[in-house]
Amino acid sequence: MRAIKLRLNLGLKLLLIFLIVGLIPLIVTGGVNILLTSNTLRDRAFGDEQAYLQRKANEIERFLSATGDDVFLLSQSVAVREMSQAIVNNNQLALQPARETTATEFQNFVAQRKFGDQRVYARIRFLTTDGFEFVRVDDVDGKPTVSMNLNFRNNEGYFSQAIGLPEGEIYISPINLFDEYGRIQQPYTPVLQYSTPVYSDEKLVGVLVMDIQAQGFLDLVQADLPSKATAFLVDQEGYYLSDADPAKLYGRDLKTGISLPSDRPALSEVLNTPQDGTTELGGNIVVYQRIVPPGQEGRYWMLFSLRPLNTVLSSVRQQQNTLELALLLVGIVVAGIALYFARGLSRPIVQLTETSTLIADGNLNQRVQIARDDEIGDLARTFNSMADQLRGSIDHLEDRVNARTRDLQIAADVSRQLTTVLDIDRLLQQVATLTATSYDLYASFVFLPVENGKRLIQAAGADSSGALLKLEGFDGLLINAQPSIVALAARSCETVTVNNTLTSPLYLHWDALPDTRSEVAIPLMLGDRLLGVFDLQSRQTNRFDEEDLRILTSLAEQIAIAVRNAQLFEETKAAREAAEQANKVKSQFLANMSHELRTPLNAILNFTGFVADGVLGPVNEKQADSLNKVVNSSQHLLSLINDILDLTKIEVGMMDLFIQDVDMNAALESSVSTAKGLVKDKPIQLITDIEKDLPVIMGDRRRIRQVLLNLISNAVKFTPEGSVTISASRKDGDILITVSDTGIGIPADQTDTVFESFKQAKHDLPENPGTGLGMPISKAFVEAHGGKIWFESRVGVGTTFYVTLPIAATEVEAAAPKTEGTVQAS
Amino acid sequence: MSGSLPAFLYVEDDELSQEIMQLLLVHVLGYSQVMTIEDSNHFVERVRALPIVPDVIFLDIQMRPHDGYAMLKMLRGEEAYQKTKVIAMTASVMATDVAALKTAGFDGLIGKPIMRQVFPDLLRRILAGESIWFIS
Repeated sequence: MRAIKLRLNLGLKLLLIFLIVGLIPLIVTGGVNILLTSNTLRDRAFGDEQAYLQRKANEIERFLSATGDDVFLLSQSVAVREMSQAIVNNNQLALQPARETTATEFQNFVAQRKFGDQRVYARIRFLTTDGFEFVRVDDVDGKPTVSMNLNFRNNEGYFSQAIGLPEGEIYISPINLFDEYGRIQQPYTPVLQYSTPVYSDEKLVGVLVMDIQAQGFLDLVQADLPSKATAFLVDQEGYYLSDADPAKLYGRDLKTGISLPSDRPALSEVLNTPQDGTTELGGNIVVYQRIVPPGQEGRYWMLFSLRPLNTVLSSVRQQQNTLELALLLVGIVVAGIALYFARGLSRPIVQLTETSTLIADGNLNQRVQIARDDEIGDLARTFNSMADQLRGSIDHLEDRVNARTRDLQIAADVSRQLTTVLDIDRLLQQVATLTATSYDLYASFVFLPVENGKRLIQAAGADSSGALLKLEGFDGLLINAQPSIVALAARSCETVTVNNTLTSPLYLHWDALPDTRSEVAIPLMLGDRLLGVFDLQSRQTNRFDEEDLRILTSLAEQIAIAVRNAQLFEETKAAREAAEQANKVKSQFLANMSHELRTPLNAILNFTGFVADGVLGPVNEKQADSLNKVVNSSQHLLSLINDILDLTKIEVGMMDLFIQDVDMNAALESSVSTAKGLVKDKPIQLITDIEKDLPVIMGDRRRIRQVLLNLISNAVKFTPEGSVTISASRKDGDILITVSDTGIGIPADQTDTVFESFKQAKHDLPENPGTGLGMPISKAFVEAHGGKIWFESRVGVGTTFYVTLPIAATEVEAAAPKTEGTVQAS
Repeated sequence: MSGSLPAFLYVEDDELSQEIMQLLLVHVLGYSQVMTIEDSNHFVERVRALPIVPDVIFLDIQMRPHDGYAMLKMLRGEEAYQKTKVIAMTASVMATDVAALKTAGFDGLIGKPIMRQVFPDLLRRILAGESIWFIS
């Protein structure tokens, strides 16, 4: 089964609930009411129907009753009594006048009694005990006429039935159409007879018979009928006496056989019911009423009314419809009220929901606009107040975050600035100034331990304006001073915070800072080592919370590092300065030595030379030879001085290369050219195998030449005869230069000392001995250029020296113009 | 020069050096116009007072009160000396010294001791316009 979940919004839910709560009872009560009312109305409608029939019946009964009263009245009238008296007494004398008086009385009755504008009595008679019409008055064309047409009526029912009755009792005949002769009168004239025995002195005297025009009251049956109603009257046998259809009338008298049992068999039962009542027949409501003349049991009529049920109920329906309409209206009103209240309830809640969604989305300025005096109004006000508080707390939070960010920013700025300061006094003062101004502090200090940490002295201080703050008369704080926050921090190597100096026993009051209310002392630690104490003071109580302390502690760590760096810098600076000074002294010494040695050599070499050359006058050969020896020795001395200077510079690490671009082809050419001069007087063939277009490298031109010349001159020097081959080529990233000779070679036991100072190989050659410094200097120069130097040698076969010089990434165009001349070495 | 022999000025406080240059230039090489200034007092005035603008000036560096660099600057300020070759002649020939001389704008260097065998060739090349940096 798939569950379908309907998500109804609150307004709809409320509306539904209100409708359910409001309309269901309405519908139930309304429905029940309508139902009940319907029954009631129906009953009432039936009742109304009965009532009208009752009224009709009552009118008829009243008529009949009045007629009964007339019969009794007439029977008891003076005239009838006197006449009766005369009959009983057989007083013929009195009889005739009594008879006439009675007739007059009868005439009066006929004339007087009217029903509507019709005479009630058609005939009034007094019959003697043998049935003779003793007095007779007829209504003849509207005139009460004493009739002389007197007959015996002893066979008539009204006589025979009445004669046996006790005094005062009345016999009522059926309504019939017969005239006195037993004929059907045309037009039909329904009559009925009331008859009562007349007694005098308890002797039956005769019978009073009153013929009553029935048409008058029969007309009542059809008169004033409600719409669509049909009424009919039947006698106790069921023969119609009144009906909308005249053809049905008088079934007995006319012998048509039409009667209620035949015509409306469903109602025949009713005939035998001595009650009134209602029944339904063929969509009609049938109301019936038994009409019994007062004081009579044997004679009755049944009055019926038929009316379509719809018609009867139409008024009921109408009322019901009105009720339904009213119910519908009430329902609509209820629904409207439900809608109104549901909206009234849901709208603010929806608004609350929307607003809270907006607030949840960060739009904290949203407020609910609900002005109500109920709980929803309270809710809205509470909500707004909550939103205010939220905004307030978020603003506060933002403020706090901003403040923290600013504090961190300041700490970072201070840290960053500190790293650029290496002078410790300036550094510490900057710490104090930056923290005091940036955090708006009453005072910011840095204390440093002195005397092996026994005392703390103020190394820096600043107030909130950044002005230098020097504690007057403060010559240090003993580390075991109590109370003192700074000393405690130094002793414990822990941060000490006092957020209310007025109450803290730890606080040491300084006259210079009377307004301090909060103080925090943070030890500047490097590992376990106390470098100092960072002390901050504020005019506010509770100035330093945990966040502040975290930032300040972190800042203190940075300060400690900066202090340590500054200390180290100062130490290394001193060492470096000492080393630099020493180097400068050495360098100056070497320069001076070089200068001071060269100056006298200038004189020695030249004056001796001039003399030997005869510039100053003639000298003999022997003198010249000696003077030349002085010159040669002086030149050797100069070489030695140069080499020693070079070597000394190498050994003290002060070799200064004059780096420029070096055209290797030019350098080699120049060296070969010098070599040519050297082999001029010797049986040595100079062979060159130098690759064209060697690259220009970066190096010290003079030193490179010096190396090449040294190698070539050595080769020449140690080669009595044969050849010296100079070759150069690119190899990998280097220029490889080889100088090989066919000389005496280097003995195996001396190969290790070739590159050592003053360790020239022993030999028997007649050449000028070298300084013994050429190879070590060459090695140092080559290596200073990033190259290598080595050799292969076999005694008696020859020696080959290899030199590599890296071309390196700084290779420049081989065609670079020569801008400078030659620098030559002696 | 204009066909005639070149003129030289040697600024040097060391008498022996002065004598050597005199011998070299006058006696060995046969030049006649060789002037000498033995200290750097009133250098500009003394230079301006010279009877002839020299073709080559040899400048000792370590001099008082003005050293060779100061004197070079003064010479470079003199319109008449724009074409004069100024050659440093010093016993201070460490690499740093050579670099400093080049930077300062000297036209060349002949280090002491002066090598009398190569000096004539160096001088010839200097007069020919070549830049000579010679260290003995």
